[in-house]
Amino acid sequence: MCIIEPGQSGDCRVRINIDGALTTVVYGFPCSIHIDPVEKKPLFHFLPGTRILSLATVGCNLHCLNCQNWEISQANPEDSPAVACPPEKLIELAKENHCLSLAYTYTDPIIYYEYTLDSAKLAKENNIRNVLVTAGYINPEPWRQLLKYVDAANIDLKGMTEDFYSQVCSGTLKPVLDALVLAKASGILLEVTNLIIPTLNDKAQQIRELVRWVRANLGSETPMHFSRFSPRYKMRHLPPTSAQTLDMAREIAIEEGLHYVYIGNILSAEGQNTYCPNCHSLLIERSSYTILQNRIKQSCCPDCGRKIYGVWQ
Amino acid sequence: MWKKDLWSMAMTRRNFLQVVTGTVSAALCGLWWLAKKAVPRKFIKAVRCKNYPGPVKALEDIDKVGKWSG
Repeated sequence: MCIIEPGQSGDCRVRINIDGALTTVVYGFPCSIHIDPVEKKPLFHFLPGTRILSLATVGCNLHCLNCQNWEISQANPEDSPAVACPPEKLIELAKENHCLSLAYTYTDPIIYYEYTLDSAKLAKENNIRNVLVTAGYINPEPWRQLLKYVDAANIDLKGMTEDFYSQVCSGTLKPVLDALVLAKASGILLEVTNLIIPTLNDKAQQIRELVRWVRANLGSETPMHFSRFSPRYKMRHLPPTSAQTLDMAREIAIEEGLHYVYIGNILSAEGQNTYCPNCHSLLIERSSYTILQNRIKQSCCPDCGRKIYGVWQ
Repeated sequence: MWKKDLWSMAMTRRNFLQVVTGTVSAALCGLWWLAKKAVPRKFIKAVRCKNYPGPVKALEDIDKVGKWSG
């Protein structure tokens, strides 16, 4: 929580105290709008192969030293060009471009909460689905309100210690864990991403602790993504994550009972495909963001009939 | 002798009322704590600012994959 003095902006840079009123300066002004494949979010169990209208405004409530999008997440709105795009225009763009869903992504939708909420409500009314890509650093009540309009989310779980969150992200762990549990309980499709940073959270024990928490609190059906770190922003002194470390993380997660474990930001044959947890047959074959084949039939494995967690139609 | 001991162990009206008051207060405190947890806290939505403080640009080609992660 930050206390904003009159005339000042908060920690996120985009909320200002104007004459005692909390004011958001980025509502309806995204700095980035693109049509991405849904796999880029990453969401591997939500309408595979579809296009998703993705947007972000500047600002963030975390300040991760390794931020991949720091040019927009840590930018001041005064210095960053934006497009005038109210919620109605977003819906129009999604329809014009045959996008089945909207993704609030790139920075953090929590920072442009009111814009996200109004756009998500309007999208629902127009049969367009809503996806959040977020760090989940939010209080329970606004989170509950937003989740009513959300269909799917990929939430970052950056580490499993308060020290990691305070030292690397300038945040705390507890609200993130609570947000994950609430998201799962709300019934939305939930996938979790963990960025593995060499020397900071790449030890086998740290990964095991994280996947055990995911399994115990979110269930073994929750898809888990391990992402490769690239040296950026204030962490240029660390090397990129090795393929071996990512493979080790995937093996640990499978060993601990997670059914769908993926590797991201690096080309990996097995780590990008979806396999049936029951008969282990290949269900979805991916190459980068492209779907090479999708064998899932009516949400089930075509070979053994096991139900596969996800939104497939 | 036996009757006298039993009499000394009996609860007086004052003791009884003290026990009842204590139990009810503890139960009410517990209920209050639970209610505070269960009832959502209010939060304030920010009002929107009509003007963006930075430069406003025209919408460019959106039909290309974003360069940002996520």
